[in-house]
Amino acid sequence: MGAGRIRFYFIQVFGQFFVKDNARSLQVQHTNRIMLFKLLLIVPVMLIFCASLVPLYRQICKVLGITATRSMAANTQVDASRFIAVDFVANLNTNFAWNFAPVEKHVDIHPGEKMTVNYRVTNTLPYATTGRAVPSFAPIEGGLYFNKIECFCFSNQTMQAGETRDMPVTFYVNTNIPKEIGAIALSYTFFNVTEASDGAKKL
Amino acid sequence: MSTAITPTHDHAYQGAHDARDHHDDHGPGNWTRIFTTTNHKDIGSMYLWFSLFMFFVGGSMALLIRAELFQPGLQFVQPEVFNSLTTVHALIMIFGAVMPAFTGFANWLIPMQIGAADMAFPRMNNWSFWLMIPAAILLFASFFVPGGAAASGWTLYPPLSIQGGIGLDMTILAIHILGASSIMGSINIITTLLNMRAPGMTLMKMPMFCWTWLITAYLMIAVMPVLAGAITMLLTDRHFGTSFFNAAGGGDPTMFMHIFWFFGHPEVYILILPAFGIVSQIIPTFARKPLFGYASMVYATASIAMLSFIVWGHHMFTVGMPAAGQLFFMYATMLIAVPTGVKIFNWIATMWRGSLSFETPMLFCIGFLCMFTLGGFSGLVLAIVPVDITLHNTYYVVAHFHYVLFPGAIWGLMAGVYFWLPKFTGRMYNETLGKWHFWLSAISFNITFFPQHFLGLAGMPRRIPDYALQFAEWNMVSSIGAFILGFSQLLFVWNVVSCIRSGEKAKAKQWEGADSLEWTHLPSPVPYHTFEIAPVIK
Repeated sequence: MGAGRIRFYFIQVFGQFFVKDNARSLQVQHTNRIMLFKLLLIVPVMLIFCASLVPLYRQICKVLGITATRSMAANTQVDASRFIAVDFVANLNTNFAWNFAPVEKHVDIHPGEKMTVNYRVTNTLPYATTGRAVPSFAPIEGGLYFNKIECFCFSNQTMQAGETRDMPVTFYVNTNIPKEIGAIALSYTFFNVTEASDGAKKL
Repeated sequence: MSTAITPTHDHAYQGAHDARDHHDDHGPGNWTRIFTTTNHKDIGSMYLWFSLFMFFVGGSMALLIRAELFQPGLQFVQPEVFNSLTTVHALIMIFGAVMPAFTGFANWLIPMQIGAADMAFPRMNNWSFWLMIPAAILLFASFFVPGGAAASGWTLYPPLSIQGGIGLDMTILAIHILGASSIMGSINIITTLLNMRAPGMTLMKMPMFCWTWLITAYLMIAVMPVLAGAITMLLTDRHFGTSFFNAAGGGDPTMFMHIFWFFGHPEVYILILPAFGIVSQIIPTFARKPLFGYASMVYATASIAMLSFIVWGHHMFTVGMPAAGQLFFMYATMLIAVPTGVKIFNWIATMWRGSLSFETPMLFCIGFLCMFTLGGFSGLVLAIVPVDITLHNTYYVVAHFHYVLFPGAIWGLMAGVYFWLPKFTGRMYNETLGKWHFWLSAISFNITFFPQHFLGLAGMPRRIPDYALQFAEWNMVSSIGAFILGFSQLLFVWNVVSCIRSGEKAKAKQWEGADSLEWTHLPSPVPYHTFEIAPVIK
């Protein structure tokens, strides 16, 4: 590629900034440039909009009353007049060879009463693995009144080969819980995050 | 549109330098011109050839899918490859075939229809075309990396899109690049349309194709960044330990669906509005009557575009949204049928008592009108929440969107090619061959996709390589139709190529009813440079 050719390509690519274009009037070029920046502005605006969708949804739902909002615990006194049946469930996400089960499967407690239960976890694999548990509730509404004080969920749990450990959950059920809800099932799903956590360590 | 200028023939012939003859200030005259050209006609042709190629690549994938579904059981491809095929088929057809084809028409036609010399940013124009090539290569190459191409469906829903191999990263990168290319293309088109119109060419005198593109371009700038945001979050979930959509970290896969479809629904109008523009120019030409209700067409297009931002939820009625949300999205979706109906009735009214003739472009437009309306109706069926909950993720949905996209977007494009080919090349295509192409497409399209309504109603899920025995007959019919449909598109290529090489000479105003500037003021073929001195429109 000769020097002339290189110069030609250079002008083709960057020429707009150096070379005057005779074909079109400078006036049009100027207004075009202004339009370009106006239109480019839409891009960051839409990106910000995209990022604010979650708080936006939340706010709209709140204003329109589309979903029940999370209520805060105001009164933790024990309501001895009724029992809530709490069931504990354990699940493993696919391809995850751990043993994972609640020590007690079921408790009956009064709303407002504090309670600790254990889940027993065994790593049956011949090497260390990392898991992370995510909770869910049935009925979903029951979760709004189920307050966990201590929980092993959402944090990485690394288990050595063959290790067994009891993982505690401390909780109480809010006394505001509606009459219709007589039972709550708390389910944990363990996800295998060994790769992700190794990757994060490397970073 | 009444235009009273002295025909620019003398200008066109004096000032026109045809690059094929002598290449004064246009750099290398050999084939490397395609890398450096900033001429809107060159770039328009490059877009059109690129999308034709991608149309056949995506089409071959569709035929592989239909071959696998010809009979129950696994014959040709493994389920993983099958999933990749459906995913990449969709991505290629949307981002590689339909969108670039419309941009190609925009490049060719918009400057000529508004009396401008070129696009507003010719160099950016070149760049936005060439960005698509690496994106296409990334998409193809992803088939050959460990783990194969993206297999999550083109919607890239997590958790599937979080689990895939490097192929998915390549797909995400390809979509980023294509998005950047579309945003640049749109900026170029809007600026051209708003700033470079010839004196007297007011906005409400612009041909409908320009109007639909103006609105489409705004849609694109608005939603492409949203898609870019969503897939960037996917990428950080995959590699940088974030948990936007990763359930294992407390993320919410449903959030991805909301963000994706906030992009995705306007996207389906990006795929159809320019076709509305093309049809709005061809039907009046062959009805030999002006377009009925021009202003209402403009307002209907704009309302469709605006409504498209508030209906995304109808793609996800089954995620467990509150009833109030379902009702809102259902009614908003049905509302779109009103401006769309305005357009359909306007086209019919344009034909009413017109002096109709049925050349190939008109045939494709009438086919468009019938089939697109059918697809629109099945869309209305799907908009009804209780019905959608049953039909969600079945072949009924596949039938619906192919009814709106194939006869909608693709036939709109085919009609456009047949209509403007004489203007672009100066030669006529073969009318008999064109009619064969239309009738074969029309019949085989219905053989392919109509049975898919039945399959969906009977409960066959989409995106599966194997199916229960009771679905066998209609799948076989559908596959036979698909192969006829696929191979009859070769007639189109043959017709285009033989038109360019040896077609009869075309007249400057090949269609007597045509009234936009490229027909009334420019010879066929159009010279390399046109309207360097803007015409004055009265």
